[in-house]
Amino acid sequence: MASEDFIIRPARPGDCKEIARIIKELAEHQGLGDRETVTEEALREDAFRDKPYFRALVAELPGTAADGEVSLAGYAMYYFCYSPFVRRVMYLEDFYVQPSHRGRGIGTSLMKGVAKIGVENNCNKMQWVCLNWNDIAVKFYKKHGGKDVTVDENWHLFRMDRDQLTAFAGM
Amino acid sequence: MSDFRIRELQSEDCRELVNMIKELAEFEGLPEQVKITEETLRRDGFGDRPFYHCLIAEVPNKDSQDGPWLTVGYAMYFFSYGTWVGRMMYLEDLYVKPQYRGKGIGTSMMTKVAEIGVENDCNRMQWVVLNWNQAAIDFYKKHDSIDLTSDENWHLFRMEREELRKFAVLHYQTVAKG
Repeated sequence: MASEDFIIRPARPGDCKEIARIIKELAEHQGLGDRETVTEEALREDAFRDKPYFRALVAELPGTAADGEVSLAGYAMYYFCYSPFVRRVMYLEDFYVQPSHRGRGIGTSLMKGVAKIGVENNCNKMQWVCLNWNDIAVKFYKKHGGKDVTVDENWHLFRMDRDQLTAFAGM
Repeated sequence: MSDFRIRELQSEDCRELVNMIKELAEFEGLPEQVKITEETLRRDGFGDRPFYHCLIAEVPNKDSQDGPWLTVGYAMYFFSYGTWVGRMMYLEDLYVKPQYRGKGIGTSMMTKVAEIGVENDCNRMQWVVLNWNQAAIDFYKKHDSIDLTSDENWHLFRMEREELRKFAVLHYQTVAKG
């Protein structure tokens, strides 16, 4: 196997600048660069507090730290949630590897890292969403025992954005 | 004067909550998936680190034997996160016992969850619904929610515990502590 050329570790407050930058890069890559994405400050405030809103793992490239700033190849954002059927659930919100660092198993390692945390915390399932035309991702997930419960059980994901939420709440 | 009230779940409500969870699972055709108990709900919903939050709906109890209020529904939710929008609200379950429907109880619980979301600076609320549940779908669409599966091709994926365990067998290259 290749020598260690990336490190998977929990995110630290100092990583938030890099993570925010990568999120912005992903938005631009998807043609949505004019959309606002989460700021470095918001990430830090929401992840590193008594009751974090999310947690993250990062893939660090060793030896790239200069002036105290490490270079990240990718990240995985997750949080604990709940199902009244099975109890604790791990939710994988996002995982992303910069295009120049793909094909080295970084994405797989990030996802496995989250899965391991799920098992260690007695989560009885992990869930995530995927665009159904993303054949490579769908194939990868199915190879590792993931089920498309939209197809298999007819679940559809719904959303209300802030304006609809505020209107609905009558506020 | 309204004929129902919505309040936060208390520890002693957990037994009734388990019963309602099982009723909802039956309706969804998935009763075999329910593994939760009153004890785990209590342990996971209260204390330093709650994994979920829950509202309870009650109506006045005409039969004075079991106290002044009868539990008739629940809404379970938790806070989640999005890389693009930050804080989000996730509505896990919304249920009203069949004989108490049509009074606005479900709507009240869902609007209360939305209000809690807005108060906590959540920028989005998400949930899932079975695509054959037309009454629910019509209600959600009436309130301007989007079906992301139909409109944007998002599919929900799941790994159960056994697959999760197998997948988690690690080949970390290096794991740094802390």
